[in-house]
Amino acid sequence: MSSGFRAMHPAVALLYYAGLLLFAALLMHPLFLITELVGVMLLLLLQGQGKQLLRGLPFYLLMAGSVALLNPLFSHRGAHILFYLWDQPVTLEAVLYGLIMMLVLLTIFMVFLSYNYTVTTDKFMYAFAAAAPKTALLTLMAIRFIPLFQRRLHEITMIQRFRGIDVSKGSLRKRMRDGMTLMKVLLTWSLEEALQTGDSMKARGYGIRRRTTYSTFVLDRLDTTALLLLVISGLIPLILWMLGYGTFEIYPRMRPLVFGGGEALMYTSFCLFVLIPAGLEGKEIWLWRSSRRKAYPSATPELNGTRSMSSPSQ
Amino acid sequence: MARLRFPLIMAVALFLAGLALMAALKDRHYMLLSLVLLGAALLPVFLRLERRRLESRELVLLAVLSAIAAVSRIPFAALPSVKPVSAIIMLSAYVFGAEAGFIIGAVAALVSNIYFGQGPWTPWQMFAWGMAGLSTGWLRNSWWMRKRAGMLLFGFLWGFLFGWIMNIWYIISLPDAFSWGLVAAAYASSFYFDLAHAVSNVFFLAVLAGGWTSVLERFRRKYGLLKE
Amino acid sequence: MLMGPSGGGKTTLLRQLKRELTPVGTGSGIVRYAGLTLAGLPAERAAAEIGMVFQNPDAQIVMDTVWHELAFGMENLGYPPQVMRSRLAEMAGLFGLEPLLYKPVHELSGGQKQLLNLASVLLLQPKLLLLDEPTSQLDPVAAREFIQTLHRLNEEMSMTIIISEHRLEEVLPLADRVLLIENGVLKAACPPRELVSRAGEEQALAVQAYMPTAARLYLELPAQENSLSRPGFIPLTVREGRRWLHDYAAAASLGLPGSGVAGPACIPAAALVPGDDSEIMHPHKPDKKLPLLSAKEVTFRYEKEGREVLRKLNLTLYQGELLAVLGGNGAGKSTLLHVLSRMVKPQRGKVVAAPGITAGFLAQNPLLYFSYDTAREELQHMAAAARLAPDEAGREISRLAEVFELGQVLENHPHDLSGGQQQKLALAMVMLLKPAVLLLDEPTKGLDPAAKVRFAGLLALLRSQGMSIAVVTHDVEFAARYASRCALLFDGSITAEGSPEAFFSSNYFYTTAVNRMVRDLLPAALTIEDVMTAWHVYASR
Repeated sequence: MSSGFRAMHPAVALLYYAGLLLFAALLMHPLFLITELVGVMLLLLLQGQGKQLLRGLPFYLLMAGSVALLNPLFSHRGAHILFYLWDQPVTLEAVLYGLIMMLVLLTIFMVFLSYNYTVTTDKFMYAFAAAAPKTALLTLMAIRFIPLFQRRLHEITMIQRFRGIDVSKGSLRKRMRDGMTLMKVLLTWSLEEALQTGDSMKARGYGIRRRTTYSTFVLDRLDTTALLLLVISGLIPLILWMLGYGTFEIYPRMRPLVFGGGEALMYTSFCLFVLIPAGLEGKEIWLWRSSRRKAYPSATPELNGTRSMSSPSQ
Repeated sequence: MARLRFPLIMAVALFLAGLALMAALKDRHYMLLSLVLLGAALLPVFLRLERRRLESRELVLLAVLSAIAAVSRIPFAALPSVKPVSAIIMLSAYVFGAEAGFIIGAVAALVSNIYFGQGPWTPWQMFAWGMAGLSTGWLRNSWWMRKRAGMLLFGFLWGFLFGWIMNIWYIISLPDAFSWGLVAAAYASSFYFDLAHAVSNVFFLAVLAGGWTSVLERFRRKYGLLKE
Repeated sequence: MLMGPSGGGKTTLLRQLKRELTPVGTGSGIVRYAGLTLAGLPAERAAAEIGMVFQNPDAQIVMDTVWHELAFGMENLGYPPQVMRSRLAEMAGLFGLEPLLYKPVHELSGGQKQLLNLASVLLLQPKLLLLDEPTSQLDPVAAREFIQTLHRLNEEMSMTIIISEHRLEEVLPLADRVLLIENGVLKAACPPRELVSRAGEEQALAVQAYMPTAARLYLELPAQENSLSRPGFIPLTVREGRRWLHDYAAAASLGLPGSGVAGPACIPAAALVPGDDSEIMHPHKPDKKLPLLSAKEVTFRYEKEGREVLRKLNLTLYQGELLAVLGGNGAGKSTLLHVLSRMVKPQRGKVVAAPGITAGFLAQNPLLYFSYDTAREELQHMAAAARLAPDEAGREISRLAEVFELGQVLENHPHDLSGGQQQKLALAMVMLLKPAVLLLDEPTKGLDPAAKVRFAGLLALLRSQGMSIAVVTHDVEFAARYASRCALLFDGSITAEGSPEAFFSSNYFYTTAVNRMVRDLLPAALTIEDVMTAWHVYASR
């Protein structure tokens, strides 16, 4: 089920996430990075992805934290020496740079977390179907096969247990060998059936001429407005960054952060860019709440499931 | 809209490439540059795929092998870092050639991440597995690859190479700390995972090589698929 | 309608009519479509105007979601988005696919998948529709729905349909013309009623196996003056058959009593009726009832939060019997077998086997069993897994190969065998485990009538060796004919069981076509042979 930002045209979402990644990689400025991080986390929470966020957090902190730790250990550039470790100087600049890189990585992880929820496969495919129709078709077919193969693999596992082929029993060597036997049964069976798939494609005219793409997405006025807003609010900080505003110079020598008029404009525009989806999401939640209060005072909120690999397809 | 999409994407790609180049020269933002370079590496093969006339059966075959490689992570879920994906990709490439190998590897990475979660690692995985397939395909007719030991050694190497490629995106985020020490530290930390990957590659290739190549060859003969 | 035994060339003929799928090989002769040779037809017309639906619902689907799959063909032909949109809307409305539109295809049932395949072909607006055993993998309810849809297309859109089918009861009465193909030769091409009367004249048993029940009963019973005096009247459906039978009974001077109460309530099992499979039908119930395998208050669910698929189910399998478990789609029939064969463990209750007893399980799809390059290797590896000594394994394999008629194909790749042979090979593999109990999941799915009879013969042979067999099936006719006991699985437990006569004659809808036809006259008659016996009893009185 989709609502809010998730229900919008894929172009909006793709532009938004591309922009976020771009900013995360370009703007090495603590204020901007923290704003972006908070903005994306807010969006995640509004999208009801708090659980996913918590589940992934240890891994993300480990990955990002190690960067913060490793940089001062291996980079010794900078003027402000804090202390010496194993005869190597640890500089303030290196520590700061490490911390900023940590923020960058954390932001990127969060962006992808939100991306995974918002940009479903068909949206992703929609964007690439025109540019690379065959690749898109190939990918979609592979996506279609995965749940089918999972189900087949499950059946094969059950049946082959009768002939002693069982991944859960025996030595590691035997388990690995058995696992591959199961895969081989799946391979032979699936290739055989795939020929019928090929026939069915051909029977419906595959390869006769260049394919067009059918899409269920329509660009409505809200989408256009959001697109326009995103482009404008995204271009302002980008242009200002090219002109040299909003940079935080660490190496070779840390300079104090400046926050002038240029930065203020840049930051405001940047905030707008980051928060547009969260705003849309929030507005929709608020609308639902108020309409439900009015229409069905006793209604209880319902949980919506999403598609995931862990649930068996039976 | 549909007609505009292709030029639009091209324009955005060019813009990003320029920006990345600029960022890299100005502030040494190698992360962005590396992504653009990755894109440039992935592009030619996919362009060729787009240009090439593919029979429906061949397309299905590629999709099936990609999906099989992606699904193969499942029966081994209980055994950490034992994943036959690389072995399956390499064997497919061994039978169907470099181009098919690359595509199977890249698509397997992309598709399995739809379920396991996309992240900054996706393009790197696509690249690494794609290259594993591509290189196997290129070398499949060399004398040592024809030998069992050569193939196993190659699989062992790719176990490490894969890990090393996956380390790059991490190292790249610290351009100033770049030193052999950092590289060594990063590679030492992933050593056991890489070793497990390499050893399981050898094992899977040793177990699979006979059975799987004969299955794949059988289909190739039976239906005249993907003749180069 | 195309009919004839499997491997007789029906599929090959259909593929000759679909240009894209014409098999490689040497051929002669010309296929013309609308005045043009098929080869001379523009590619786009050939793809759009001749649509084809295949046997396996899963293998035909290309895309991941329903709307994408529907659009696939139209995208191939390069239709503009507006055209695609309106056609798709129309078709989704016609087929009631709207609620499914955004579902991933793997969440659909088999019947829904096949309807999706049909709809996807229809979106190209074909003038000729080719169907290759489209319902062979579907359960009876879904199959009937599919055939009704075809009937509607034929009646309302006047679409030309060529279908090859084993499901004769439903399809034959709808057909305008029937082509009988055997060994690549066209044996007959005429309207269905004409075919029946011709089959009656020639006394061709092979053809008679392909007749609907009403027609077969008509041919079996001794001809009567007044029913044949109406030319062209041959019953094809249950309704026609029933009407005819009542006339028939009334016309017989003394007449079978119309009330039905006085009809022979119990039919002697040892019926001396000529027929190719009469001795394997309705065998005696075993004298001593030795329980081999029983489920006691078994409750099973797949997921912690899922529904209970089996609920406090009790079932016992006795030695030497053939138990048929019937039940609707999703009633848990396959799950029951999985539990009985101990592939899955029930959450509550237990499965008790007599000491030293193993159960062999044959899944619906034999391909699940194969992982080697030849049939012989499969058997050898299975023998090794069953811990048979090499020389004993060799003996056992050659014995089984003989019993299952696999001697010719032992060196072939298992995937290159025909469907029936694959099933036999998988069964032979299961037999190597020396099971005392055999559990079969839908063994008659997709088999042609002759193959069904052969398969039943095989089961009778195994039973005569003291094996007991449980079959879960949708196939009412098969259960009525060959089972020694029937049980109905509903809502997770066994709600009715008994001998086939008692079981089916107490049902009103869920019973054999013969029973539905003759139930007013002979309530316990399930098969043509039962009716014949009753007739003989009547005649000798």
